[in-house]
Amino acid sequence: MNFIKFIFPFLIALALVVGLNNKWGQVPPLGKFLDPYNGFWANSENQTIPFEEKPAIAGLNEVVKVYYDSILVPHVYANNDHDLYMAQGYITAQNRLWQMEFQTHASAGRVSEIIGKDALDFDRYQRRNGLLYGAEKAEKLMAEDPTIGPILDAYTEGINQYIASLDYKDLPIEYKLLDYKPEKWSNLKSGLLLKYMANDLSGGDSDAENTQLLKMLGKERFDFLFPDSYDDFDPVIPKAKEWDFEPQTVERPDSVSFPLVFPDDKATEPDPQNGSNNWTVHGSKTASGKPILANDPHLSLNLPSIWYVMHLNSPSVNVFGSTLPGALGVIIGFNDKVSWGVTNATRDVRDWYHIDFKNAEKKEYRYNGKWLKTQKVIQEFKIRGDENFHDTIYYTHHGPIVYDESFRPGNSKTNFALRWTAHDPSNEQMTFHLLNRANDYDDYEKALTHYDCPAQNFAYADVHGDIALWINGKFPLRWEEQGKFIMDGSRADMDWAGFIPRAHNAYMKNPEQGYLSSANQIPVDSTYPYYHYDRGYEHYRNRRLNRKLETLENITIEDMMRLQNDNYWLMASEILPGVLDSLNRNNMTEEQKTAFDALATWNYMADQDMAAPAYFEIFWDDLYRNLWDEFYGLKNSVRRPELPVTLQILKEYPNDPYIDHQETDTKESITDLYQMSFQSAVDSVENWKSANEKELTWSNFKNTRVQHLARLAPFSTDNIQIGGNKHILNATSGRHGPSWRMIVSMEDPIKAYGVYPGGQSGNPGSYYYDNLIDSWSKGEYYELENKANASDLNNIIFTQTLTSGAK
Amino acid sequence: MKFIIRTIIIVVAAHFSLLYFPWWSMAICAFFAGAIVAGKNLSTFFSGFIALGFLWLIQAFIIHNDSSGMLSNKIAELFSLSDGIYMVIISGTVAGLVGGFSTLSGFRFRRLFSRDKSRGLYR
Repeated sequence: MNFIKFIFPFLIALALVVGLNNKWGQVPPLGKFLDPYNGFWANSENQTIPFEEKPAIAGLNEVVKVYYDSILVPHVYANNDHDLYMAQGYITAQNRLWQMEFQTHASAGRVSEIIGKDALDFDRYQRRNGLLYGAEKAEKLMAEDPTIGPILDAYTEGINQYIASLDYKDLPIEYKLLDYKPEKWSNLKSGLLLKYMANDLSGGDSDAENTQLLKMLGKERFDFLFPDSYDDFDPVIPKAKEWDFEPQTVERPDSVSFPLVFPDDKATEPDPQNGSNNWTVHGSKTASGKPILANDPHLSLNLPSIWYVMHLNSPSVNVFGSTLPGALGVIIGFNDKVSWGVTNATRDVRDWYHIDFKNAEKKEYRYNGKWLKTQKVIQEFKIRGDENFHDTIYYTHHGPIVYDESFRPGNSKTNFALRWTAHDPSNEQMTFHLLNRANDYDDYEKALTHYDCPAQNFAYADVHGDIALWINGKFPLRWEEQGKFIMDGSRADMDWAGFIPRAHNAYMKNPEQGYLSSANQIPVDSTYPYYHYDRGYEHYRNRRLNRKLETLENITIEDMMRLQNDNYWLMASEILPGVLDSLNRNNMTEEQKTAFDALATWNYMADQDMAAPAYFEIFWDDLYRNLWDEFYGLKNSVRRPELPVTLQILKEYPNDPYIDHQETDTKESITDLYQMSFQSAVDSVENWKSANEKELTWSNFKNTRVQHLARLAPFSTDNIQIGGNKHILNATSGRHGPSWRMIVSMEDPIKAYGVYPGGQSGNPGSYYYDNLIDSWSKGEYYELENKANASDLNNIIFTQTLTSGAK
Repeated sequence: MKFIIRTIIIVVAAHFSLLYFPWWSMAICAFFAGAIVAGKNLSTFFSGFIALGFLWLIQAFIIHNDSSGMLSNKIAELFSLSDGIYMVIISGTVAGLVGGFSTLSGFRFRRLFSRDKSRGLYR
């Protein structure tokens, strides 16, 4: 009897302890998690700064001092580079550890290890797409480099020292919620992060869709709807540029025939909106007489933010700017002499080859009349709560077979190999290492020679008065149309003949016009002697930007801030007047009249408190859909014509067969399309009004939100009051926008400003997690001071002293 | 009196234990306190429940309050609750249950080896 009286409560107590120590489905281990001493409560920081004041970091040669300013930007002062990068690793991990590991797990195709089998398809694509394959090569090259190797080791060691110091109590909240632990950092993870960015910025292409469209439409129609360039384009390198080199030639083979087969179940590729603005203005146009540089890279709006802002100081460097957690040094920033900023070069560097295997064993494939051997690699995937999965990937001399009968076979069930510059060994870290230390234009030009992928437009300005812009990266030397469609992998003349010599990459220095800019538009005009292609060069931001830069004189920093936050919707201004002319106000309902009047009096500014942009956005979406209805509802989803072509057809080709709407019996005119789209747009807006009890303003309608990387809603911020949209300089749409805004005036002393939609802390329990979003949405900036002496710093709220720990 | 002594022992032991050891170490503290300071079933259960329940409730409340619910409100939302104060209450309840049953089993463990006085009375 006594035993039963004991065993009964004892079993309940035991069951409680064991049960609460384990994860149940989505519910974290509640005992661990709710413990006020060690659980999630320990991550409640608000404005408290939880960092250790004097952490011991084995391996430091000397003491490193870190001063955190009022927005928690660390100013790091080290006595040598080894210590500087060790400290960078330690401090970045201290703020962003979970994000660093999650992003590199995503790159490596290891998300299933954390969230289970739902992520397996994503993970398999990451491996087949070759991010791990590319990262391994990059790691090897970086490790062998006598400059980068040792500091990368120091950086990795700094991160690992931080990880080793952690107890459960100190883990970032996401580890506690998802119930796992951080693993050791490695140089490979830094390589994976660089490939994560390469994928984000150059990991998309339309070769498969182009091939399908070529088959569907024929060559003439395809070329009309999907041209390589547009009328009145305004290239990155001004048309005044003269090419003073002897170009390498590449012959188009006599009989080019593209095999009209294509993967028709492609995995999700990065957002084609990933782009940016940058510009650099010569002293002849500025109020101070010195150049001003501005940059705002547009990426998915995420928390923790993709950027972490730092000031790094050692005897060899004094640089300030945004860093990528997981990569060495500053990526976009300035030092005492120069400043630089990047935008995506938006050029196709991915080509696909149809592979003909000898037999089902896939040991050999046809190439140039012979059989070449494949390399077979079995990739293992650990899956949380499930057995491991194995995927066999075959490599050809082109690159990995991404799509075959075992991965997204689609209808074609055939084999496609990917050739991509991100797979080639490269050492982009060297570029940033040298840029961080650059003194003048020559240093900048030399730094760029180490940079391959993702190709970027590097804008430059310095204190000597020079401005420049290089379209920089490794670009394949292609014949006309090479790589626009899927190619025959058995023909040697379909392979890339080589690469455009680096010195032949397009650039301009100190142009007559007094400014240079880039916004992902077409890089060069038709006089450039090399073939270049992209599926959709941006056509609006750059023209608005250049119009403004052309007319502005005595430019101040405030002018540049206004330009970064400019909401002028150029595309709307080019189509809306014609639309309004063809609508008849007399036959309209009251709601339609309200909408019509809002649009008729609109100044084309996509400002947050206006209603007109909401009407226009939805009108345009409906119009686009009605015009290109032939392209929707196909068995395979295909791309549709880009905006410039769409506008051109509406304005200049009233009899084009696509104007007719397929669902109706009558033949529609453009006026009918406008009418239909206008009416449905007003209906949609009325529906929106009744579904959302909010005032109809552009920002309420657009709902700009910054989302947590694991998509946890409470850790995200939504309905941010901000204007702008895609194809507008202030490129803030729903989930996408300027991820870092920076303006640097090269006057003496240098004045610099920056802001980003996030915060320095990666902890959702910290005030500093998202405290910059408000300023960002209002177009406000923080001053960035790269004082060479710590004693000159302002607004320091916390100081950390890193020591080697050795007595 | 024993109730109060036992409760205080559990609070103090669990508090220091949680500073250095995982959360379940408090269950061991409660178990031993139940075994050392004997009492009745209900009295031991409730001293464990109140000791650990209030320890977590108060600690969680202080954090919730000091941080203005910065994190607890977000975690509550993850659990489909409207306010971080519910996380304080849940934390207290979970710890209370663990405390109650651990203390009770400690007491019953002692009884496996010592004579049960109360049974004698009614025999």
